[in-house]
Amino acid sequence: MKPKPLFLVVEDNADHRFLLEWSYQKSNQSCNILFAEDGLKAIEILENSPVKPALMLLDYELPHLNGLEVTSRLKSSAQWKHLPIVMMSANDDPHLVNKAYGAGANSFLGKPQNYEEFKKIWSLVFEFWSLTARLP
Amino acid sequence: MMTKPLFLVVDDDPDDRDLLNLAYSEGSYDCDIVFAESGQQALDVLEKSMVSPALMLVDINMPGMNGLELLQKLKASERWKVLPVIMLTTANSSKVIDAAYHMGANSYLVKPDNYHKLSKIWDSLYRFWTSTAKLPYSTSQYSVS
Repeated sequence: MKPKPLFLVVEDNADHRFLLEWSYQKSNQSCNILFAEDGLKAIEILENSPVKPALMLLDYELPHLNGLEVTSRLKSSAQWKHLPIVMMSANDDPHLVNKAYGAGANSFLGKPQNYEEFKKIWSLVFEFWSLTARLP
Repeated sequence: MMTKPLFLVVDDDPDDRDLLNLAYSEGSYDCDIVFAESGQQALDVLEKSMVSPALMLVDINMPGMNGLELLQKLKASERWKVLPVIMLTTANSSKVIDAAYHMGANSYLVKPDNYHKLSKIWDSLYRFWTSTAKLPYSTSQYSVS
């Protein structure tokens, strides 16, 4: 049986990690998920861990390196350029959305405001990226 | 007034274009779709047209400029690099998939072997990219209608 793809979720907000985990548990769990609390920890996982994520869900508002900086770093790395990055942010300012795509983000999500929206959006994220799209 | 997002589909195979058009028209989707029959025609549509697609679906195996070459041209362009490009192809080797992502493809879909699966793929694609994801601002403001 084909192993489930691993999604690396980079989110510093504990409440949002809880909501993501809860939404994941309510989904059909067609992927595995692993959390990193900021961009530096995510890069450390990529560089030092044997786990190879198939996709990164990346918050924009992060301490140390923000989501755009993490995206620019990974997309300029020969090793990680191919890794799909779905950026998410509570700020859906069109300029930020365009900057994210310009930096190489594969997609951009506005962060949901409540449990039900979280559940709905994450079920669509999991459906498209783990069941419909082919990942590297 | 919000306009419908426009999908630009680039595929040289008339049967595949017909099937994609059928999947689109049977689903009552709130988007517009326009076809280009080659990579060069897609570039002409982008450069000369007054419309701007919200995203592109691009076949890989095409005569002349193939889909990966078109992808590279778009991602090297300051004007078009933010435009999401999703490969939609029969090519399903991990080597080609990795290469497409490496060149900047926003996502990768494999053409299924029957219409039922194609309509499911179209449905998932539409629901994620138009109702869940935020599309780039400058490419999502226009419609052909």
